[in-house]
Amino acid sequence: MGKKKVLICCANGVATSTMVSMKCKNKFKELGILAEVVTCTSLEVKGKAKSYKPDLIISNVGTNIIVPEGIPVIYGVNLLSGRGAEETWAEIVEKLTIP
Amino acid sequence: MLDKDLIITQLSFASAEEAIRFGGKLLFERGYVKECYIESVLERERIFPTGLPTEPVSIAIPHTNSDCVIKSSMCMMVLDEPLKFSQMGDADIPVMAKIIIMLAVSSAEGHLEFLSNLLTILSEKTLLERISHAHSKDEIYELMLASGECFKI
Repeated sequence: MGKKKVLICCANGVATSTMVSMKCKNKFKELGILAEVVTCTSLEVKGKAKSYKPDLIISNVGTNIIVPEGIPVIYGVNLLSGRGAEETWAEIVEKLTIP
Repeated sequence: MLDKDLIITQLSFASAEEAIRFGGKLLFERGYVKECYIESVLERERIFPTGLPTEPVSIAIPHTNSDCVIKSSMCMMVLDEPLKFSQMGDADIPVMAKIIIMLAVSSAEGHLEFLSNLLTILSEKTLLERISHAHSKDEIYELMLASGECFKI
């Protein structure tokens, strides 16, 4: 399985996307998932998704963002609040481990 | 990153906006943010709300882009009565926040460890519980320092 790419977006591209990216890096390391993590703002996400071609987008501004078709979008706020985080991790892992 | 003078307990406000103005003014007076910070945070909060349904108490983390920030910092306000915010990513869901953590995040890379540690804290139920019941800034300051080295100035 090749290296996966994850794009994380939030309103400003500095605070919560950074928090979630640190969480992802730790989690991926723990689970042995080879994935690269990049952050951006919700305004940049469409363009960034086109050029970066992520396998998955984690959005902290809701899932109602416009991204190229075929790229799954997961709501990342559960990872921040902790409530429902296990389910969200399971979803992320599933998306990243499908061949 | 953690300035004890920016930890305030037993606060009560009529609205989330009032609380944000109060915290923003403190950050401004202590030289962490520019004057534009308050209005910028308020506007961002309307478009991109920051309420998080953490357990056992909910929190809100109002912030804005780094343009209005001079130096990374945070202002923690513990409320007597929770205030209504909206949930991050879903404005239709109300979040009654008991703790407001206003973030001032500069674009410098140095804030990464701070944000990561803050996130760990936000997901620690016991710690949030203790902060929500704390009566003094000293109590919270000690709790925070015990949780992460990076909070030391």
